[in-house]
Amino acid sequence: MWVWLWALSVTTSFAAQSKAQDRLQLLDRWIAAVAAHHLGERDHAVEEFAALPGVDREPFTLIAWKFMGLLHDPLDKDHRPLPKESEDERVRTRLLAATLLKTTTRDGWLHRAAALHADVMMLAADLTQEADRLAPGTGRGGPQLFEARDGEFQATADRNWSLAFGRRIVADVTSPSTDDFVGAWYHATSAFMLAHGWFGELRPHLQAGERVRPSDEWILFDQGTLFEAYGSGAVQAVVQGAKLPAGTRPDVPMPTELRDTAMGYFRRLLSSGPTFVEARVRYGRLLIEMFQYDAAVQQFDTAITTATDPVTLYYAHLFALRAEAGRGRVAAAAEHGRAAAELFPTAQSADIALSIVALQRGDLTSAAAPIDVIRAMRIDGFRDDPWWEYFQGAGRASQTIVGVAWSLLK
Amino acid sequence: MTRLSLACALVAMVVAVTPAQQATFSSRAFVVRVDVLATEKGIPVSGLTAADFELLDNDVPQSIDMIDTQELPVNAVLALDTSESTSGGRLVDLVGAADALLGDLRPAESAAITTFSQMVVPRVPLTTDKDAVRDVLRHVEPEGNTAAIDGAYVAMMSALAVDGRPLVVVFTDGVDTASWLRPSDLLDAAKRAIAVVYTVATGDARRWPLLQDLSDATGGRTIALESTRDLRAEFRKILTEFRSRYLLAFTPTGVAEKGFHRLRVRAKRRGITIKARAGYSNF
Repeated sequence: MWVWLWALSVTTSFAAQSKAQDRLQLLDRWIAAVAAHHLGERDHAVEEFAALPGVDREPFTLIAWKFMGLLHDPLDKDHRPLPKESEDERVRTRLLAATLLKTTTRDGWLHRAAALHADVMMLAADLTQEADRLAPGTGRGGPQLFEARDGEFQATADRNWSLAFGRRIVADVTSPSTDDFVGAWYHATSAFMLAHGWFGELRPHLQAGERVRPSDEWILFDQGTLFEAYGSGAVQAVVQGAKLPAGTRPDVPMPTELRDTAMGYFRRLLSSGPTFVEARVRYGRLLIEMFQYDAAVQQFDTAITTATDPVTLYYAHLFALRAEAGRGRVAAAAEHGRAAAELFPTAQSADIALSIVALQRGDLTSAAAPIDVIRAMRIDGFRDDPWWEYFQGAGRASQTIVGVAWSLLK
Repeated sequence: MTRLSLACALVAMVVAVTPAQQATFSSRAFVVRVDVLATEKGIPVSGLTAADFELLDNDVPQSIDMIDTQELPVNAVLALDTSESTSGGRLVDLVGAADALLGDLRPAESAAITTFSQMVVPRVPLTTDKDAVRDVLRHVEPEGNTAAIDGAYVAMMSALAVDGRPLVVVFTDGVDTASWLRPSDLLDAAKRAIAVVYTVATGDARRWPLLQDLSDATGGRTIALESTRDLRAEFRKILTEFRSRYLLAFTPTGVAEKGFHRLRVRAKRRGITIKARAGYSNF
């Protein structure tokens, strides 16, 4: 027993010394990575922090917060020592913060650091997953996400620590609720996750975003889209049918709650920004789910007269077809179907929609014709069907949105 | 009650599937065909005649005839899931199974193929040239999500308005993740179409109730497989079973003309289980 305590004491002392050194090294590497990183590129800075081993994340996080605190308070008046902090570490951390503030503003540096961690998440998630695999659930009590492909469960995974870290950075800027870059950062990261189906990551992300920026139009829109996506076939296939590890289940609310929540976000958005056309179209689609066809048609009529983006216009026509068919107005429904098909001639959803409307009115010749259109499309040819990307929402333009965000820093 | 000739059966079918204005009860004969599977302890029963059946249209008993199916060619439409999850062994087994079914079709009988991932591709329309279908099977590349509902719908539509006995075989290994159509749309279309749909499920699709609903609506059957190892035998069994079915025909009397008609078919002999479409729509 005695020997063991001694050994423990020595080891702890060694570990404390080792951690102090590691923390400073990690901080140095971080500051260098933020400076060197080429925005939007998977460069050395991105790969270095994507591959940061799980064991290094806690000490890194500790010193990073200390450092960001010093950017607020360079004289360290509100001094809160790190666990096992040495005098050397305290002095050198202060010096690093003071040096940095001579060449850049605090918020400017935080913006760049947040962009680095977003790029780590977006461009090198494979390296982070590999590091997670070697030390699963580091510091967080085990895997937290399901990975599914085409409705089938594939694996469990940890949340992306770099994304969570980026969120804490943007929350630390002087006024995140009015900071344009913080809005753009959330919009870019959310669009990326919508595009790649990272719905499990996106939910806490947008919750955090909404806390920081409660009236941000894009955060409200992405929230609505996320809750719509939870109700999509791709997600519900996992919720209802996938064989998951014993004792686990996806954290997805019931379908009615999903719909009500999504509608709530779109309603808020339309009350503050009535020209947000795609929000109107999405709201209308949810009205169809509630069999409120008249109200839905009103939304689509308004959207069709104001939409300028062909994809949004396509959705408006496609859903208007369904709403009009629900009202029994099959001729009006078919008109919308034809308008949608004209906008995207290789979209099979418009043809299938036209076919079933014809079938419902007993016109078998007209029901068969759109199937012939699909058959005439080249088997290996390109098909541009906006329906396939509907649940991506802003993710459809993810690359552009990320580019716009990063351009704010150039 | 007599057996109808082939020619008459074809006329009947054309009437039944032509547009609404022609499908009236009063001005000309409107004949409804009902494809029926009769089994006893799971084994198809042969040798039955029209007199062995009882058919009710919206609860009104009807006078029925039986069509000689031996002279009526099978039109087999394959709707095959080629989404990413079918990669590897599943696809090999699926191609083998489809090939076996094609091999069991008679020269005068037709086949068509629709594949679906998120993209629905009605690759070959009904043709007696089975090699054309086989050629497509050889070049299928799995990719993308699963639009099984859209795929099944397009397959059913491919079987419309073509002479013969339409059989649609839908294979999927996953639940739908990408279709435009909703489950209710597909079931509604199934009631209006004339095909008998057999659904074959493996993987997560075995827990997908829509497949059973689709089969029930059309008088077909659902086959759930642990793996695709036995797919070849199952596809062949489907065709054999389909050939053992009876084709009843009747001219609706004593019922309203328009709308959905609920059908009930029973065997007069005890112990025989009947599977037939749940109803038909008259436009």
